[in-house]
Amino acid sequence: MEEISKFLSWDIIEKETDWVYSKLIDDVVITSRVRIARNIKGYPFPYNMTVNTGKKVEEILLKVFLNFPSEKIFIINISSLNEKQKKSLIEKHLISKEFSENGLCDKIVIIPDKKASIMINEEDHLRIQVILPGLNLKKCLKLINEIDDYIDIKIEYAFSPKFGYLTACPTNTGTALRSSALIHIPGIRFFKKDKTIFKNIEGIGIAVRGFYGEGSLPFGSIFQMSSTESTGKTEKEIVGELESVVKLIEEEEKKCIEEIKNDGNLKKKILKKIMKILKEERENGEFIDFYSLLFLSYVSGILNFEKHELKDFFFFILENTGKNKNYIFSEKKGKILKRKLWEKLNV
Amino acid sequence: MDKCFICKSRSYLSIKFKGKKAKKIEFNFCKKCWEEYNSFFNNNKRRKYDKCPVCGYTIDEFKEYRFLGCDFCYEYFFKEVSDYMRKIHTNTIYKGKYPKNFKKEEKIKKIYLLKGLINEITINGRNK
Repeated sequence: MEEISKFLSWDIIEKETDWVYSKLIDDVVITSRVRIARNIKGYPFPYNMTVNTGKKVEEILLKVFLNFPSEKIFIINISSLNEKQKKSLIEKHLISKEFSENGLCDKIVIIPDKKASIMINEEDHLRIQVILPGLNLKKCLKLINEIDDYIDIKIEYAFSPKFGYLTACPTNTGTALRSSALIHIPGIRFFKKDKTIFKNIEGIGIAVRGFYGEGSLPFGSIFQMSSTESTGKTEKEIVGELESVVKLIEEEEKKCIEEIKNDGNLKKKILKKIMKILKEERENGEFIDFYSLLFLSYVSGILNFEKHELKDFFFFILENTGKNKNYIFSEKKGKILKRKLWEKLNV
Repeated sequence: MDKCFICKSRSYLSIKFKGKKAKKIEFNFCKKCWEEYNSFFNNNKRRKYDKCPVCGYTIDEFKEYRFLGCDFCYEYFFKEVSDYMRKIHTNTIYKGKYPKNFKKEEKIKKIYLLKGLINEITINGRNK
């Protein structure tokens, strides 16, 4: 099979996957995501397959996608990407970190008009996900069903009426569906309400995870809320339940932001924290909250930002968090952003 | 006279289920559908080896890694997989969509939904 990614420039892929963070500044819910897992009947699951079988499964699935009715389809060979390019796809949640490190699987399919990315031979033969900006879980489900229904008529899925869609790990078996929402709740965290809220929602079967999902750390005030049950409910119920909970959190966050907007002392507190982090040369534990503090200063009117400026800060902070770097603002990009911030602080 | 709940064609014999909190529920099954219903949930087949004949995955590997080797492992290690599913899922009755080409779709769906209803009323914590 010809490697199509050889003929694609990375710039095109970056541009065509830009949709993911389009609501970064505007909404409490940054992205909504629905993911399903599917396997082909009669083939071993990826962890138990030989390289040849992996190639065979890959060939079958790529043939299905090459005829998918869509204006553009990108088939990307992950092993041909450099580390920065792989990181970009991970940050956009289009591939998982495990996928980027696994030698057996290296093809992903991106369908921009369905806002979908499909990993082949990750934990299952197919991991199909749709990511939309903002709170859009039901639309994600609609789009993913369109893709699923198309593949369904081309190959025979591993399925059992007793268990549902069969997956390598029984925690996913059943609908094999996970829905999640990436939320930014700096107001709730500012008032230290997050622990109580998370405890309550975990009690009703919604997991709160870090920025990159299961096993990852939160990024400041950005968390992933995820459904946990894959069976015993319909797909619509799983998605609907998460959406209801996310809506409640959204309302609570908006109340917290209003409170900050109307309280001069709280605004001063936020400014003080921003200046403290800016003065530190070395990355410390507070740096992870830096983006959320800048965001709070923006929404409460303390500091003036253009949306693209705030986005620049987001990606800079994401890139530099957890690196234990000294002189975090001393590199070229860091210097420019620091100078911009000081100007806004009028210092 | 009401017909069998599952096939809607044959006349029924009535099966009563009594719950722990004295709740009662009655379903109409014909003899054939009742036998079919029971055979879905009483899988007493004894396997010969502890290794999946299709992919070679062993039951010990499943117990250690909690992954399976292929789709047939779900049938071959049915008891262990079912027990594990009951531990990790609140409700193990499948209620989701079916593949388009799946045969006997409507009848099997009904049997499983029925099992779910009966579980909810009669069995307290069986799926935990």
